[in-house]
Amino acid sequence: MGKVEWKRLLWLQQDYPDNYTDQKFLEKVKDYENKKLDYANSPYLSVENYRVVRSDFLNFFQTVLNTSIIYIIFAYIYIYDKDPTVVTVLVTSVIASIVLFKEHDKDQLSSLLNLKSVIIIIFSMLTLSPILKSLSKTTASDSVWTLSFWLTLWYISSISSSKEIKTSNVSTNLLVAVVSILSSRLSTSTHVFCFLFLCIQINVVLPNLLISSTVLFMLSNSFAYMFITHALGWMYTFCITLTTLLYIWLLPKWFIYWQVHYRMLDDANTSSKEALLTSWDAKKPILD
Amino acid sequence: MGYNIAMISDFFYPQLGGVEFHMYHLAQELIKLGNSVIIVVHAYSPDRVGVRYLSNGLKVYYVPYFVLHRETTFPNVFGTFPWVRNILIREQIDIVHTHGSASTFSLEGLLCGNTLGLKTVFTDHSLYGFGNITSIWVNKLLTFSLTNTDKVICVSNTCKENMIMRTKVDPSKMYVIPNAVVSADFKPTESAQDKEIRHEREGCKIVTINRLFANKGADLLTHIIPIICSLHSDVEFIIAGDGPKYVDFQQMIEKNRLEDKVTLLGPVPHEKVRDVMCQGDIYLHASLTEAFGTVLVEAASCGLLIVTTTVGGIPEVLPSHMMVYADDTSVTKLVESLNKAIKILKENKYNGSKVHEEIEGMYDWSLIARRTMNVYTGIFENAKPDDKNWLTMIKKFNERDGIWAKHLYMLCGIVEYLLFLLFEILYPSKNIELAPKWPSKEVVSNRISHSKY
Amino acid sequence: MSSTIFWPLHLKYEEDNYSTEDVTAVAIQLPETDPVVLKLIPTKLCKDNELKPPYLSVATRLRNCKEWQFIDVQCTIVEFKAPNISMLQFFSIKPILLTLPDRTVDSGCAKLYSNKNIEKICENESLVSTESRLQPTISLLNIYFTQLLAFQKQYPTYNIENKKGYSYNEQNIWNLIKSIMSPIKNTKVDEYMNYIIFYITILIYFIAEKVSIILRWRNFNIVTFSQTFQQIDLKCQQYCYFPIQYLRITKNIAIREALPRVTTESRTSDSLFKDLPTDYYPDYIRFYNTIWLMLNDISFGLILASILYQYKHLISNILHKIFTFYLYDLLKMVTSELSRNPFGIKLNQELSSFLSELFLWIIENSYANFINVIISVKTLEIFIGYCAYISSVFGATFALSLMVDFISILSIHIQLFYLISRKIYFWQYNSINSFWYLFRGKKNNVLRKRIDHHDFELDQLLMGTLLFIILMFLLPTVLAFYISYASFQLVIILVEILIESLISLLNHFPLFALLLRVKDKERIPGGIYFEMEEPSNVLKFKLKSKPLPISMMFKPYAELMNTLSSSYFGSSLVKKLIRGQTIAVNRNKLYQVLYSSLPIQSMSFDDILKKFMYAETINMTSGINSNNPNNVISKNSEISTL
Repeated sequence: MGKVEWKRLLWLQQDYPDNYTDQKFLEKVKDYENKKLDYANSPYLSVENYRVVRSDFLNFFQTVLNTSIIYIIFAYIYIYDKDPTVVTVLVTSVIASIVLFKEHDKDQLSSLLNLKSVIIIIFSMLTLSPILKSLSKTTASDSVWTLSFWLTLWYISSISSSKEIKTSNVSTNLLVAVVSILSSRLSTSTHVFCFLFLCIQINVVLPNLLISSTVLFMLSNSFAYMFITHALGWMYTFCITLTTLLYIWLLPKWFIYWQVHYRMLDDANTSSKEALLTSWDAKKPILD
Repeated sequence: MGYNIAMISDFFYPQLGGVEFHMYHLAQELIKLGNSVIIVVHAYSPDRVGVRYLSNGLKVYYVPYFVLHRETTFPNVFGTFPWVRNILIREQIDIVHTHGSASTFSLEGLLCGNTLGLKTVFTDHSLYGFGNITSIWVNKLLTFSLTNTDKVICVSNTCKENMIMRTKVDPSKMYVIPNAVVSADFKPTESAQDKEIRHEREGCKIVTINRLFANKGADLLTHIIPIICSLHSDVEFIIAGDGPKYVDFQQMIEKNRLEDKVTLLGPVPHEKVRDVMCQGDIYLHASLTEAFGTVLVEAASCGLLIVTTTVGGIPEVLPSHMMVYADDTSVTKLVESLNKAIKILKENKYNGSKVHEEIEGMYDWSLIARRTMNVYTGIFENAKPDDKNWLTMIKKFNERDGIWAKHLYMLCGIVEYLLFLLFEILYPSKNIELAPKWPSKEVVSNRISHSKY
Repeated sequence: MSSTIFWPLHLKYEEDNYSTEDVTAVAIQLPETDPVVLKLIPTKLCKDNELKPPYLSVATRLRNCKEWQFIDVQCTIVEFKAPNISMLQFFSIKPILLTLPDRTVDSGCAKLYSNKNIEKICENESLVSTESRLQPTISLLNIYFTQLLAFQKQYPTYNIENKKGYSYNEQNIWNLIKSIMSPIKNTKVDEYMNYIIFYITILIYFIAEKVSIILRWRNFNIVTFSQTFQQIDLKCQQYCYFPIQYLRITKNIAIREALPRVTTESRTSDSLFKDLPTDYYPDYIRFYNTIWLMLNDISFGLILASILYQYKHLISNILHKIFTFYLYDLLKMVTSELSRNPFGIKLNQELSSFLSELFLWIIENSYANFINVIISVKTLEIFIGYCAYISSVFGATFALSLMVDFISILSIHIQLFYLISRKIYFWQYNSINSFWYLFRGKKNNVLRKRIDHHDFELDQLLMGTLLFIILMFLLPTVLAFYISYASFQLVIILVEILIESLISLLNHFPLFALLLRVKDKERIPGGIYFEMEEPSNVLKFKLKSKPLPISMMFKPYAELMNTLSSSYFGSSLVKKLIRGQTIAVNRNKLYQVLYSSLPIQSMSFDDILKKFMYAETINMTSGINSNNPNNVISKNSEISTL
């Protein structure tokens, strides 16, 4: 056959009909179909991939846990009517000591906290806490709970959806908003101040100091479970632990299964040339 | 004799863009080939409403309809049926040719045309992934609409392959017919010698014309520009276009003090695009997704050397000697390619005006129209008598993937057919007044010559 | 090109007189005009005496023949009714302006071109009229009878007495006065009276001018605060403008009388067209309109005074009740209610009780110290009595202005409340706005006028968000106070505006123009149009004058209503309220449109003195040598340079 081989070019007038389909592509599709049937050997099921997916799940879990600690502290002060001063002093001294121990990591630290801003934060909270206290006195509790619920949802979605710098502003703001709205229900200015201070330390300062530290993870977990046991009893603790375990171990697996079967992803590494389905996605900009 | 063709989409003049120009130029060339073409779009308030005639009797129906977001109408499968049915019968349409998969009007037009038993063609202009909710939704809708469509046209091979995966339509029903440009509108202003002299005096200028969206690579551009400006003292940038990332560009300029090196033009009307392009030597295209990239052909036609990513259908569009490719969508690779391009220009190895002549031979709307005509004739040749029988069509819906989806498709198909019957009873098609056709040029000239003798 | 001949209608009646002889139609044609037929002359008289330009014969008619033979066969005839300029009739291509040119507001015309397509069509060259002969020709038509007079003076031989032709006779009241006054003309008595009137005028002008200047003093523009002073200022400005208007009117009459001697020289025809009736005539209307309105005002004032005086007790009782209710009881009730969760809206207790206590204190104090005294029935009766006196002496407008000022003085505490709550709200609204930017991680870049992304420090974020939340919680409380006082203020403003509209109606109603329209439509032209006639051997049109449309006369009112409705009703009011911008009666701006018949800057005293002296000398000279044409021409040019 003297026919010239088909080229994948639009500008060239070729001796092929317009509805000619690239044979290489058809082979690729056939490969892909075979691969899909062969689920057990899918490259998407690799251990590394599983680890990546699970760490994503864990991160999200951690975020929710940290957020729930706000509510735990709030319940501790509001429902159980405990004095939070001791706890505040304790946590503050722990964090201060961490800061001192991590002295060598000066760059990161100074960008996050310097003496000036610490003083400003403390004094502004001290001045504003009496005002905050009276803020929602006439508002019904239900509306405050609803408002804080929606703001919390927004906060979680904003913190987990993207790790860019621009949204971190928004998520911090949302956190402060939730905390200040909740604090407006508290009865004394000291409580308000302690609650604000604790929540900001735990949710803003601590995660920045100890990035994905297992110690922190264990600590917050045990703290949460302790509280649940104390408040609701062993049955609830058991159920919630079970759900958590299911979430951490099973959900990633199911997620991968779903990715392969329903979204029909054929490769974990989306920028790979071999991947078929992701080849039409908008590429990610690599800003190195 | 020619066909009566109805082009249906959500996008048409006064809005400007790739689909709009494609429809306009294709329609004009089809009219020249002896067809009669009408265009059906939603009304653009406040003053693009009603029926209008454009050059050569191209009739445009601006249908009043609720616009949802970015000139796309509210999707609801049956909403346009009464309007479109009336228009199709009035104009005695043979072929319904719709454009754009993100357009509700276009997809509903296909369904309506099929229900009325007309031949249907669909052209897609964009790529869709499989990963997010929007594209899953669009893909399902498209699968439904294309089940009974006779032929599908894609603007590039990449687009076609994407389409195969999205809708599982038989590849032999899919045609690849690219966009074209009116190369006379994109001529270089200066001769090669003038350009060389200018290079030596002013250094080289890099142009980019894009809507400043994230998927057009706006973030890449804001990172590349300061690097290139620090590497080359004699390079200037001209950026045209508007969008949500405009402020980022302003901030980038201010932060790096590039006011005298980077010009931000803001939105540029289409007729001025060529003037902007001709001010530069290199066209930088950092897009992250692209089905065809008409702007590349326009820039090359203006005699610019093109630096581009290799996403989507871009590698198919132009011969490699007009392009400098960046292997991936990273800042480093794009900077490397730009350096290479600047070097080529400094050594005067690139002849822009020759490229213009080459492109004149490659892309031409009349050629595109003839290829489209082949598709049309192909429909009638391959047609089976029971193609548009509604039972056959329902059967085809039943053959699609997805247990939930296919039943929903069948249900929609049946409802649409019932709607068709209902309208036949309420407003019988024989009662619809037929519109007189605009006389084609040959007919008019014949008539004149007859009346002379 | 075929020519157009203008043919006065009264010549048609004259035609019948010449049915037994040949006639020639003699026309005048100046360099840039079309021929206008002046007179019919028996051909036998014409034969031996050739006409010199600008006169020419355009048509002839043989005896016992109905049809005219035109020299240019393809000509078009335009018939017109010759305007009697002494009756102040004239044609005008454009509608005459009742407002001063520098005061004209254009928004009405701008609306006409709101559609871009229409604008394009209007600007298309092929559709724009290039006919430049029409304007000069119309001007020539306007001085038709003076031209006729000039013609008759130059060619006395053609002057045949018409037996029953059109008689051109000035029947003017001034002639009557002149004839009565003629015995004492040019006597010592006349001279002294002239002097006395002259100095009285100058004195009044001087006082009025100074008063107006004092009232509009730059540092303390009292006119903006008080309706009464604005009224005084308006009257002063009107008095200041009278002499100037009068001079302009009389000057033009002088020119008109001098015209026949000028027109034979084609050079001066240029200057002739500049002194069209269109230019001075609106002044005439404005002058008499003002005088009429002043008289009207006083007669209305008398009626108002009698009503006020008669029902003094009743009115003061009712007013007392209304004022006590609105200014004290209602206000107090609303303010105290605001601190007790009105309508179940839970306001911030601390803030609302603080604010309401503050406002209640002011209410009690102001009521005890001055409102109570002012709105007692006795004081009100005295006030109404004074109003009645003033109304009967100075006119109804002054009494109404006093009432407006009275209301604004009474409601001063409401204005204060509004101001305080607006300030608080405005400050809070702006802070919330900028904190909202901070909340979203953005920053308003004031210098570049755009919203920037910005990475804030932790302490900034914290402070900002805390304050944002606090302000958001306090907003409903402040808003409740602000909205209640703003509505109180709005009611007061609406009442004031109602009365002020009444005043403006009395001050600026286009009474004279309306009466003119009823009396003689041709005296108030709003353009021309052509009517096609029954076709005969030539194309015939009839030139007709279109009276000025009533909407044009009321244009300043339409403008006023537009500004009123846009600033006190509808969405813009809501927008202003939400943004916390001030809502107040801005008299200076609001009634600017109604001052449209007055110049922006009145002439200084020295200038007017000079002008007066000059006019005096001219009157003297014109009285002596009005027969010398050259003198008159030079005089005219001097006046026009003024």
